[in-house]
Order: sequence, then structure tokens, then C-alpha cells
Amino acid sequence: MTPLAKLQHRFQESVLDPGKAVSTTWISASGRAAPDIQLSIYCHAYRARLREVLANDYPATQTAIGDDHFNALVTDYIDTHPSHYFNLRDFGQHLPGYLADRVQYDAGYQEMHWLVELAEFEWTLGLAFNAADVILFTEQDMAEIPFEAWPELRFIVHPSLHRLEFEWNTPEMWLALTADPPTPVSAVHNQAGSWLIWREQLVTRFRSMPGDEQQALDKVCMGGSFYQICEQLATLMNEEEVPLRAAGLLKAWIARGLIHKAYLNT
Amino acid sequence: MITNEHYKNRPYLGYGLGLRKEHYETVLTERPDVDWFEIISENYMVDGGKPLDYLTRIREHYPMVMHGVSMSIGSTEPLDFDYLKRLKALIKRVQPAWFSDHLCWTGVNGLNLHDLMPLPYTEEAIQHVADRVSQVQDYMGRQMLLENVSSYVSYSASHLCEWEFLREVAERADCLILLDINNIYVSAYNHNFDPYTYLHAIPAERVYQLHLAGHTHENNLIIDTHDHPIADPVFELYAAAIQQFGRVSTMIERDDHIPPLPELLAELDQVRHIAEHQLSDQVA
Ligand SMILES: [Fe+2]
Repeated sequence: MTPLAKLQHRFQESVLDPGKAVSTTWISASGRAAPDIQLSIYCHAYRARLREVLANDYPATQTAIGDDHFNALVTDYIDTHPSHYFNLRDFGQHLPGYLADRVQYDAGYQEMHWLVELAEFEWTLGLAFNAADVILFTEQDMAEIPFEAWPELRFIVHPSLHRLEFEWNTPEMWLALTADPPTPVSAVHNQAGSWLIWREQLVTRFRSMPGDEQQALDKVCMGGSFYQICEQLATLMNEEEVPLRAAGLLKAWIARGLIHKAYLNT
Repeated sequence: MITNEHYKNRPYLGYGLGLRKEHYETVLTERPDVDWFEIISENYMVDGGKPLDYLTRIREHYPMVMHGVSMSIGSTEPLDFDYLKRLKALIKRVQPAWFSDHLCWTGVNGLNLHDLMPLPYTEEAIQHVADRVSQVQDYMGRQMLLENVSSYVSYSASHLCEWEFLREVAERADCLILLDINNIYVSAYNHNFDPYTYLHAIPAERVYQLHLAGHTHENNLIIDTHDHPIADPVFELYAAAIQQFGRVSTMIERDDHIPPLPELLAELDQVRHIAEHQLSDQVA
């Protein structure tokens, strides 16, 4: 290792693990502050900056457990998941998974399964916020498709579209916790539901989906044809209801900016 | 006497501000009297959505420059060409007057400390950084600006002054300089050197942009917090910089406790007043 590389590794190690007693002879003692003070500025700034990023990414999670608990949580996260990303935006992506582990193995987090869902919801909202802008498939485009092409028609959804399964009243909690000022809310279990998160033009939105819509949208996302979507719906309703429901769902998706493109597999 | 004659090739944008999301709406609806905006490149390295939409709409009305924090030009890790590729794409989109990053390193071992870590002022570091700046400039097909950072640590290994280091890197790599006046002041205080000596050592023809910002006293050191108005001694140093360099595009960086736009515009007026006063003295 070159002297410069050695110095950078030593400095980084001291920032990442300030508890570890390492020599500070590489820091000049001639400055205004002692070497350990000089070093502590960087150790402190590193954690403060990352804590702030996580607080911005996870405001509801922070409000839900309070500042002290949140600080302890994210400090642990910062120490166990150092950033591999050039963009600070990506740093917090492992927090829901990290929380899931804590809930499973850490007595301090017992019975806080809802917190994992809440964090996952917040992170997903951020993903939708920053997803690519694409041209939308319109009702006009739909009208131009010849009747005989419909069964084999497939769709590409908007890149901001995400589907999440919740067991708790997570979106309701998020709304209450991010209100200004936050309103009281408690976690309620057995609220099983499928949720849709997407961005309509520039506005991030979410809503719950009835079971048939969720199954139909799953088919769309897996590249299923319109015929296969109808087949799926037929397992849930009378066959004569299927065409109307399928057309209705598709129209609603198009109206809310969920469909990017339709194509034929040739 | 100093005149602008020497630097007539230097593009000049006037007085600018850092573009912050808190001001997007005001900027679009009120079109404030700001000559140009500097954007933080990484904030717009996303696929789509609101920030890029605002960027596009604001760019239609204002010149821009791009300022990055993640190039890690001084790191001993290989250059991140994934990052450089995204930067190049953003440059193509924004068409900035120029782009800049910091004379620092941000991490090794595949990690990012998301901080501007200072370099030791050694011959080894000069050559290392100059080689990498050349690589970046070749890849981008244009010159870049390097900014001096605030620092709180001084290395035992340093055997040069910071200004010698900066000048030598810029000359060897043939790059340009974004001189942060507040950072000079902060580092001068923290490391006991004379900020005017620093200033006088900087080659004027390479200085394309100046940064001004506020700072905080803490622990017998000054921290470059960008959360206060510009301090008086920094204004004085700025006046000396204008005396020395002539007209240089200048802007205020504010990253925390961001005030309403009119407050920053008033501060920018103060900056403009100081600079124009220096320049009119020169003519007289
Ligand atoms: Fe700066």
C-alpha cells in the first residue's frame, strides 16, 4: 500500500470505529486543537450527516418511536451498514430489512412488527418519488387497438409502480404520523391488504386494492396477456362479469397513469 | 494595478446562489434577480420525478453550473466510472457553464463517508490527484473546477502548504479552480496560517468561481456549517480576492437553516456591492 492509501485507510477506520484505540501519530499535534479533537470533528460529522439523511427518509418511523429510540436505532444502522453508494439517497435502503432482523432477534423490539412495514412503506414512497418519467399509455391509444389484437395484448406499467402487502394499518399510521402536527394512532394487526404505490405525474400516491384487482395487476406485472388477465379474473367471478371488470380495471389504471405501454408479443 | 485584461477569456456569470428545493417554487413564480444557480449534481442523479422537473423548468430561465460531492478525486480507490457516466449524462442535460468537485477524498474500501476528507500536502498526493483530474477531464472532454475544502485535521505527512498543493495540482492537471473564500478562512483559523498568503498564491487565470458561506465556532475550531450568514472577516477576504482576481462569478452556499429567498437575495446584494466597489476602485 502506498503512504497515501495507508493514510486514507487509517483515517477511515478511525471514523468508522471511533471506539477502537488506534494511534493518532498521523495527525499533526501542531494545530490549534489536539489530534483527538481534530479527529472527533470527522467522527461526529459522519454520524450526524447520516442520521439526518435517515430522519429525512423515515419521518414517520422517527415519530412513531420517538427521537431517542430512533437515534439509537439509526446509530446502530450506521455502524453496521456503512454506505457503499455515491449518492446519499441510497444509504437508507437497508433499514427496513435491518429493522426486520431487530424485531426478530432483539427483545427491545418485540411486538414491533408494524414498524418494519412502516419503514418499508416510507422507503417505497421515496422510490416512487424518484422513479423515471415515461410516456403514458392513454385512452386514445387504447381506442386505436384493433379488436382482434386484444387477447394477446400485454402491458408495461409505470416504473414508479410498487405493490406492498401489509398486515397492519400501515398507510393509516403513516398519514397520522406525518400529519402536522401528528395525530394519535395505534398499530392495528389483521388489516391484511394489498397496496399500490405509484407516482401520478409528479405526485406520489397510494391506495389499497381489492383482491381481484391485485391478482389482475400481478398478471400484468408478470407480462401476462389481456386474455390471461381475464382468465385470472374468471377464477374470482362469474364469467359474464369478466369482460366488463377487466375493461374497467384497465381504464382506471390508464386514467391514473399506471400504464406506460401496450405491446404484442410477435 | 490589476485589471480584467489578463482574464478576459474567463467566462463571467455574475452573482449566483445554490439552488435549494426550499426555493424551487419561489424561483419559478417570482424569477428573482439572481444571475445564475449552482446545483448539487448528485441531487439530480435520479431517473425522474419532481427534482428533475424543477431543474428543467428553472434551467430555462437561468444559467447554471454543476457542483459535485462524490467524485472522490483524491481517493486511492479507482475512479468510479459509473458515477462519471451519470455525471456526464447530467452535464449533457443541464449544459452547465462548467462543473466542479472538491479537492478531497470521500472513502476507500468501496465505502463512502459522504464527507470531504482532506488530503495530505505531499508530492505523492499532488501527482495522484493531478493524474486523476486529467483522466476525468479526458473522459468528460472538458476542464473541471477543483474546490479547496475546509479541514479540521492536519497531517503529520504534509510538507507543503495547502495553497502550494492546490496550485500545483491545478497546474499539473491543467484544471480550473473554484476558490471557496470561507473555506480558506476556516482552514486558516484551524491550522494557524494567514488566509491572505493563501489567496496571493492562487493563480488568477485558473479561478473561475468563488464560494461564500457562513461558519460556526465550536471546540476552539471553526466548522464550515453553511448555516449562517457570511461572516465579516470572510467578506474582507472576498474583497481582497476580487482585488486580486478581478471579476469572478461568485455565489453563496447555504445548506442548513435555509432562510426565505429574499434574505439570501439581500445577502447576495451585499456581495455584489462589495465586489463592484472593489472593481470601481480599480478603474479609478
Ligand atoms: Fe464551497
